[in-house]
Amino acid sequence: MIPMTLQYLPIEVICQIFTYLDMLDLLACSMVTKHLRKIILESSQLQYIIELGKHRMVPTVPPTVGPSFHTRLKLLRERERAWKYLDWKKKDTLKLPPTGSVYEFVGGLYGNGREDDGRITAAITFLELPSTNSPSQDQEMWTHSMGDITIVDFTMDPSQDLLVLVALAPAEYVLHPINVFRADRHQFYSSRYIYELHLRSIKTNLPHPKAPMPVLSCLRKPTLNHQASDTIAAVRVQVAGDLLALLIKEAVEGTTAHLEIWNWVTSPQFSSAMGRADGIDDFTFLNDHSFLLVLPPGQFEVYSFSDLTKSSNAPVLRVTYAFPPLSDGYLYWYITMSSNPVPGYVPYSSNDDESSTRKSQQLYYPEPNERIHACCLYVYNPSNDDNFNVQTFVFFVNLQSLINPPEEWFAKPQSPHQKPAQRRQPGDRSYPAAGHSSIPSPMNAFSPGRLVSTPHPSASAPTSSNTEQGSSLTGASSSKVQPLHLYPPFPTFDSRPSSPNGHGLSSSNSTLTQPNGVSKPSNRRRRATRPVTTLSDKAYTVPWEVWGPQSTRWFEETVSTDWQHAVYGLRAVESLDPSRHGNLPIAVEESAGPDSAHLALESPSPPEYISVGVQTGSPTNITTTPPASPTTMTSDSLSDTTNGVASSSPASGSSLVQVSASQSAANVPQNGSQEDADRSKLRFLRLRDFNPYLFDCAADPVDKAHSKGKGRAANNTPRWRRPRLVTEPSTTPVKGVFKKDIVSSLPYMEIISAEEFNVTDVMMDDCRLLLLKVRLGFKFLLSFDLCN
Amino acid sequence: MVILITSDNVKYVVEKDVAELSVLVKNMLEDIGPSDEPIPLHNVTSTVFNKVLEYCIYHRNDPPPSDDDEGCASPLHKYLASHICSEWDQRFFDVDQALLFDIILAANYLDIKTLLDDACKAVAHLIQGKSTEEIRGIFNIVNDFTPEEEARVKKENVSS
Repeated sequence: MIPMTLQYLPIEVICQIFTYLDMLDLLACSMVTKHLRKIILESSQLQYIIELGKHRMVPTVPPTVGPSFHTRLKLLRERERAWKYLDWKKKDTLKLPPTGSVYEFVGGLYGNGREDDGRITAAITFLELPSTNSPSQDQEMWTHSMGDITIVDFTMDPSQDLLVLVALAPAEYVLHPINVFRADRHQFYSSRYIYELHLRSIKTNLPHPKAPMPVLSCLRKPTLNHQASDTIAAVRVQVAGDLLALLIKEAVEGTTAHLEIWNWVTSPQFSSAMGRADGIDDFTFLNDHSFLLVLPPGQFEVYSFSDLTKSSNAPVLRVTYAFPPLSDGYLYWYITMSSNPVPGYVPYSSNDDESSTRKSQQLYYPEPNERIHACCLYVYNPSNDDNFNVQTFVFFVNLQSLINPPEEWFAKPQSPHQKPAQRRQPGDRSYPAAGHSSIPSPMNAFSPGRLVSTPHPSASAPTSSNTEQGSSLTGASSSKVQPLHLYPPFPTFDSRPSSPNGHGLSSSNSTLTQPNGVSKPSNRRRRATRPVTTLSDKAYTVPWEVWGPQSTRWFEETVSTDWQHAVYGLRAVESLDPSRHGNLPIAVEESAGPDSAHLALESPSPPEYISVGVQTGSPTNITTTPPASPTTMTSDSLSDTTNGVASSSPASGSSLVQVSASQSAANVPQNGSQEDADRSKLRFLRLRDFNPYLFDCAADPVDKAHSKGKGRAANNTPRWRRPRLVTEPSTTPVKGVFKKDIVSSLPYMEIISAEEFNVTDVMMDDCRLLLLKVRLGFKFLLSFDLCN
Repeated sequence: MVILITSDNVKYVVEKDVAELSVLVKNMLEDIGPSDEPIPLHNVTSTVFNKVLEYCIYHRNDPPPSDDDEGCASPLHKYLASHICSEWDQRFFDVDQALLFDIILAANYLDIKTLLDDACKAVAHLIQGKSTEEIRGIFNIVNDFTPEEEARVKKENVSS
């Protein structure tokens, strides 16, 4: 009798066993024998697992719900191919609701605040973006009036119909029939807190049905007579499933920078909170029990927090990752960090889709432990009178490497059983280890660090010994630094002038609101000139040289955005100014890879939809046409710009204008009005993909799909240049800002458009590229759908 | 009570609810109607059936496996749970490979979904995290690729 072994099991049983494996296991199995290889190659379900793994995705629906694996596989492959070549299926132009300073874009839903005369966000308009499988007539737009609360910022999670409003707690509560829930809680006395979080339904604007407490209070007032209007600081608000975090970035008026995390569904009465006298630049969840802070001295700090369903607790510092050291005299003006969607959480689909505003069901979602983060650094030297310019850099880092740091990053040797599991490398290629949901053992070895932690709700006392220095700097930085004219102006999304008192509703990250034009950064934070807290225990700090070079990729920032909506999963998109980059942006910018010969601009073709005035080969000469009819207005909206700083013209229109790709712009009359060349917003698009798997695909010199012209426009000219793989280290010139030039080597693949787009800013999500442009106070959004 | 006879002619008297965890037995009982006739299990030996019976008796009161996961709170979590959670099950499947595969074949033949699922997970657990060579070693499988084929397959795996 033949000894029973895996090979001789019925094929369907082998298939079932294999469905419990991940991509790496399946690839290993597929090389065991011909028989097993055939089984794996012929199973749609197993191929789907492999394909998801390669693209760093996880399923969001169980196998018994939704389409067949054959269909899922096809959709996934189409999607990835479309992203690889930016081969969109559908193009829509949308005229956005009137301008507002705060907006948010999540999961196909665009939310846009609208101010009243007092510059307070009075209403939020929501717009469901079109997708390929929905006719554009079905686009939904609705507006909620926000009543009498003072909104600082908002965020939303369409997958659970959650709208989170960050508002200033009112000075005095008044009983009002509409606000019963609030009046119930606070009666008549004035709030002891500075901020409130309102948890509402996106659809109805009513208190969210899953929230036991629809209003959460945050950050105690230092004194009872505290004037809330004096303390508006930049904030970041983030939702990861049941968890909700609010970061108040700056220490103002006797408070500290403050971070607080709640489980808003099960136990909003508890929270995990901490304060920092020297400010906190940014925040992101890592998973359901840890988060990462960006701190002004230039470092990441990873914290963990305990189960919030039982009690309040203070976060515990696990590990610090230092940035490269700045040269003497230089300081961070500020640092932002962005990724999408929120890490550490997957919106698993339930079948009661009532709670979701999304119509189409998403079958997969980016692996929750892997996100490319764009970290923007703004550095200046306050003592250098001749050089007030702010130097900007951006680096990309995959959170995975911070969540699961390799053991060798830690000086302290770990005991053998604590070693992170070493995966074998199929084909001797370097794959990321499969995601782990917990902080691995090396970090658990650390004990609480040096933070000022403040268990909620007691107010924190700054333990800093150095706040005076911080205050003195504030004066210097706010009066002298005028950096914005020395580097490209921020793409501006709104017409909001700077607030006269310098305390504008600045909510820099989640809203992309940026200083307009050459306005002074007068409302910048108070910040210490050097780290207020010293790194008391070096053992907990991973120096830059140890973690940074191989885990990051640096670029000189040329178009200053904070990337908030320009990163998704492991991809990042941006627009390139051809006048800065010339026709060969890559060749001059970075060391070219072996494919550089292919990177020359392949005869720039007239773009199929914005050909108004774009003369082939001369991107600096642009003619525009004024709006005359709905059709030409659409075209015009894509071709003109007001340099981003649009005037506050009364914007009442809210109609949607649809333009199809086939609508040739050739029939749009040409007009001779000449734009100043440097006001041009004609830009290339560049997509970078940091998924390590793709590098293997790219290594294939003849990409069949590409050479067969699939990534081409209808007129058979290429839309995009060849994808380019960058694996070699690059050296970023730092102009003396850092002590050394920065060498970084995180691999990525990049694709640059052959055509140019008239765009103020670029955004992306799971299946869309959005080109935003501002014209005469109106915002226009060009939505490219890449997949279903 | 139901009387079952294994391929090596061992007779088992089993309570009906336990026996009916096997869809095969359940269908046979429905086909033949009320009867004292023993049901032959041609493809299962008593050694293996002892194990199967042990599992069925332990799990006799489990909620029935839901093919239609619609009502389940988090069917995906269940789907993603590729490991065996219960300590009892872990000990149950801690047997030599030959018996483990025989249990799978028996579960497949008798159509006992939960046992088949769990046994498959137990086999998957042996594979998880292993290299190709290690997998061959574990299951005593001979490599039937030529070196050229092996190189090609490796290449396909990373670039397909």
